[in-house]
Amino acid sequence: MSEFERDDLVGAVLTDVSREVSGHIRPLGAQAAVRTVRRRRRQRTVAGGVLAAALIIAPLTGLALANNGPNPSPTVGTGTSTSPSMVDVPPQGSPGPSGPPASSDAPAIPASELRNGTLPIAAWPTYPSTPTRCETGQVKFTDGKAGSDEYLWMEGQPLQVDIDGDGGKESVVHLYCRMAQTGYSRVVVFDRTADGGIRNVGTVLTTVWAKDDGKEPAKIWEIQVTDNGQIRIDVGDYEVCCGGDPNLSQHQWRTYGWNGTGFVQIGGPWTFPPNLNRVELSPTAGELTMVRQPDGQWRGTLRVTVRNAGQLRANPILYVRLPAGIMTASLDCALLNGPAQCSLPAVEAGASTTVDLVLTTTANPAGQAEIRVYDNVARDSKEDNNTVTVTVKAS
Amino acid sequence: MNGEVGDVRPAVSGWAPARLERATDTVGFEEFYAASFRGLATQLYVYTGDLDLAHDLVQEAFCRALSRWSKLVEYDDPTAWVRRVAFNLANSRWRRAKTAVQYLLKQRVEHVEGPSPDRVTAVAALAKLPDAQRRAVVLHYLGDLSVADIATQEGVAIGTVKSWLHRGRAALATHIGAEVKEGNDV
Repeated sequence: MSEFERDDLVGAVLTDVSREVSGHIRPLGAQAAVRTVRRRRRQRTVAGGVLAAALIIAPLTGLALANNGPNPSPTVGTGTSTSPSMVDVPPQGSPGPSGPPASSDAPAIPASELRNGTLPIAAWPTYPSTPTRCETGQVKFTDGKAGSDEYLWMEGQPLQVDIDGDGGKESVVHLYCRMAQTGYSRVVVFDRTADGGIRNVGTVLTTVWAKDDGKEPAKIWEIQVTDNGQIRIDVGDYEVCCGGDPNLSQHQWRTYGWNGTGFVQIGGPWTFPPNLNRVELSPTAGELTMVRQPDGQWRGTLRVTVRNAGQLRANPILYVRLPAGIMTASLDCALLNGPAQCSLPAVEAGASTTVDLVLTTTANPAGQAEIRVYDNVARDSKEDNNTVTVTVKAS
Repeated sequence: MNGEVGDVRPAVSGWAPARLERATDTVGFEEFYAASFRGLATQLYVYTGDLDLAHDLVQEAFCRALSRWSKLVEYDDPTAWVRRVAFNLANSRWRRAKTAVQYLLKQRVEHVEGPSPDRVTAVAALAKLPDAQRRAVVLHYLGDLSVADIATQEGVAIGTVKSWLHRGRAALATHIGAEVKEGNDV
């Protein structure tokens, strides 16, 4: 047989074999490769030591780790640099001696790393009268707290969930940004970067602060994750401050999911129903006439009645802004940079209380007095009737 | 006051989580994979005689390609890179030992339904070739690589490749011819 005859024979045989075998090739898919590469990156970063030990016992199904070196020439590692599994889908045939291939739910960023790492933090909402002091940008956390003044910290432990169904798990973190006596809560998702760092995937929810529109959550009670990548958040309609009963806030489970560009609400209610755990305070005031006294001072009494039309017992506070020079002599009132702040006795639901504020001044008392009432803790269900204005007369 | 009340809209029907956009640039990878996997897996099967192993080797080579895809995508022939990785994997020291053992074992196992007698004959004949000759034959006849390309991939002289191909063809012709003759004699 000549060389040409051999060439034809071998070519024909191999072509036949190729044609027959080609029908039995079952590609595992490009996405399987994506999952494998992603899992390996995580493993290299978070469990390199453990992995290295496991690799020495290279199972028969294993092969070398991906070569990411700068040399464009492909090379193959030795037996000591193999991974437990070449691919993260079950191999065709029985598993090797080390058991089934590694699960696709590779470990997420460890909680300890999140609580002590540098995390990218998005900007916090702005509030005109109370600028936030919470850090943004690349923020270093130590034991879950950021910065020395501790205005920003993590609530609880991070949760892990596969938000995009690719087999890898992202980390769900509850951040709290303190503002005065309450603050913002935020649920944010972090993930690994290609180079082993941490990136901010997106904000699931940031609560409102000092705002009560009956729609946006003001409090986060609890966070859960589901097997199908959803994030369930038990939200409240307001955050009770100052030692009040936190259960005055309502609860609602709202569900959020990743849509490819951000987190969106995909289930649960969008608004809160009326919260019956509220006061409804409104003041009324009589005339205020300041009378000239023999010693030259002016003296008068302002009678204020506060009604609580809500369904919750109120602990009202009067905020009285008086014309310049007028002071209150009432024991339950304290001057607050000019205005007086007066604590009133508790007012039951549906009841009223009346107080007389004794006022004095040495100057001409003419002007306007503004009286505003609010509850020390509870929210007021109707805040447009909490203020009354009185004309101060002199005689 | 617990309970889900208020403005309760229907849950988003049919919602499914979308995939995160990764830092890894994978544009074009899926198309490349789809276009190349089958041919490469076939070549690796003919070289190793093990269909499962061929799948694993090629899949692993694609994983490595993905890890450096941003660079690889600029190559004139990314497939050549993946093929080289797959063959290198098959030739690695520990893999070679496993392959040699499995190659013989697999000949007695049917991995796919109804292998034809010709395929059994061809694979058995290929198994008798030295690795280098078998590799050269596969790359030349199935990978459509020129002698020069094989020499480059293997890091040997062109004359060496020619020698491998010459000896490989001769040995295969002998083995296949003998098998055919034995078959005809029965």
